[in-house]
Amino acid sequence: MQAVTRTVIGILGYTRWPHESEELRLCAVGATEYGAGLLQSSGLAVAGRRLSVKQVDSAQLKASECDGLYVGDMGEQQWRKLMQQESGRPLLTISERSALCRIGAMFCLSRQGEGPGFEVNLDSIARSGLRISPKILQLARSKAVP
Amino acid sequence: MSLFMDSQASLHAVIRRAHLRMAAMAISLAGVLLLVVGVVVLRFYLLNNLQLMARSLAYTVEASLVFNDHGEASRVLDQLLRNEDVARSQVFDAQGQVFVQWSSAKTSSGGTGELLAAVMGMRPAEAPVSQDGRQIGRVVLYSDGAGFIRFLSSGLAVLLLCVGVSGFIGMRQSRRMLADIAEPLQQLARVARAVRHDRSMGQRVPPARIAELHELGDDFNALLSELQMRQERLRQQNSQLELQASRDGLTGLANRSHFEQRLQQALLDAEAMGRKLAVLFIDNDRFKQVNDIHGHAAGDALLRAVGLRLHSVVREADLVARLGGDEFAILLYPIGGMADAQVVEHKIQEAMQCPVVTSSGVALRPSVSVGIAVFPQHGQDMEELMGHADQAMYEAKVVRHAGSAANKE
Repeated sequence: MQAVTRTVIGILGYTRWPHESEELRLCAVGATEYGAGLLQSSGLAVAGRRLSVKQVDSAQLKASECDGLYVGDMGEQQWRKLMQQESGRPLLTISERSALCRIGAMFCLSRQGEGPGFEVNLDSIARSGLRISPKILQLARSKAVP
Repeated sequence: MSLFMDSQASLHAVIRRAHLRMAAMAISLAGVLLLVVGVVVLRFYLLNNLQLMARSLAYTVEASLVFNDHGEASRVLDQLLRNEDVARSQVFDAQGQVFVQWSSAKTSSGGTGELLAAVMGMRPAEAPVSQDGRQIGRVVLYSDGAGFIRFLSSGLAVLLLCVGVSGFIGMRQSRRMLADIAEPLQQLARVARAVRHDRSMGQRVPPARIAELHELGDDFNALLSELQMRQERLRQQNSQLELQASRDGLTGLANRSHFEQRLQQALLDAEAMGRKLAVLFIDNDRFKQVNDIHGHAAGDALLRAVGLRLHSVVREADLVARLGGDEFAILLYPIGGMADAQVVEHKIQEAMQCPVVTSSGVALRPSVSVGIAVFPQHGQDMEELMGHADQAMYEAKVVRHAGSAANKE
């Protein structure tokens, strides 16, 4: 399993939604660098739910009812639009670019030395309506302070 | 201690040893028991503690395992275990491979503490790392035995302290006990020595605090008193016997052997000092007739009366003796010469003028013949002197006989 995939699944594992169905739907949006590995990990059991990863076009996003977004290369404009569109839903957002964390993404993957690192936007997490385990936050914070 | 032989242990040493042995045994027994109990209890708590630590470590390291973050895991381990009594720790991942491991900088791996912990049966604590009930790894902790070392060393220190303190108290106790026991014994010995060496029976053992010793002292004192009484009685008997041996039973005057003894002494003294002495022999005339006519009781009364009268005419220092039968002797020492002796003879004859009245009412006129011998002119030694006095007395008797015969005619 790729490190990125593992990290994403780890984040999913430590996240709780207000209403959880049998299926944990992660949607990959846009051109992603590591999305392929994620797509392969469909069917894994994560926190007692079955993971399904789909590549979704940003236009169809609303209908697909995703629990989480995995965002690859996306412009800021497009991101803001997406956020407005999805506001009010408990949606986990993970981005491959750290830039998006400054404008509302919750988790941004960032390579820091060995192993995958990630940044966290605590404000976004607080507004999202999701419950994220503090264990991750500690991991992330420790990355922010080298 | 002079009370005991050097080859034997002194009472003090015995008491001290007993006290120390008792204290050491009691403290050691209690201490060892407490230590054992303490170790058992401590082991239980240490195991629990280690288990708790393993669990909290498993909980803390969980996210690092999930995200495969070795650096964070190492940091967490160090942060959590740095100040704990843990020698080594390992975190395994789901495949059973070592994810991270940590060993304490305080103790070298496999050191005495770890060995001690192993000996004490401290199993390494294990805790599963799980995420949502799914095991994703395990944590293993090895105790460094510091808890045991601390406990044992402090326990032993306290034990030693206790032994020291109780030893000190034991010594003091033994000293006090010694004062209670040995003191009376020493007193007893002292009194016994006094009795043995100085024959002084006057000393007594003072009362002791311990009942048995007090009793012993009392018995000893009673024995001493009895001995003293017996000795006193013996002495009295002895002096009485001595008196009897040197006295004549009838008259209470000195007997012949005593007279001769005194005469010998007086001769030696007179010779050394260049003085003179006189020996007078006195013989009753017609004593046999008195006995034959008036009976022995009258004869005895006559002899007693003569003895008394002789005693009354001499000085305090002079000696009057009954040599046997109706013969008396007087030792005059010191004396000026023959003239003085003759003065005494004259006094004797005067004293005999009064008649002696016996208990049966018979009046007897005592009559004596006196012979004088003076040292050194009539002899140098006792035999010579006594022989001379005897001779002189005989001559005097002859003269008196002649006189009395003439009176009768």
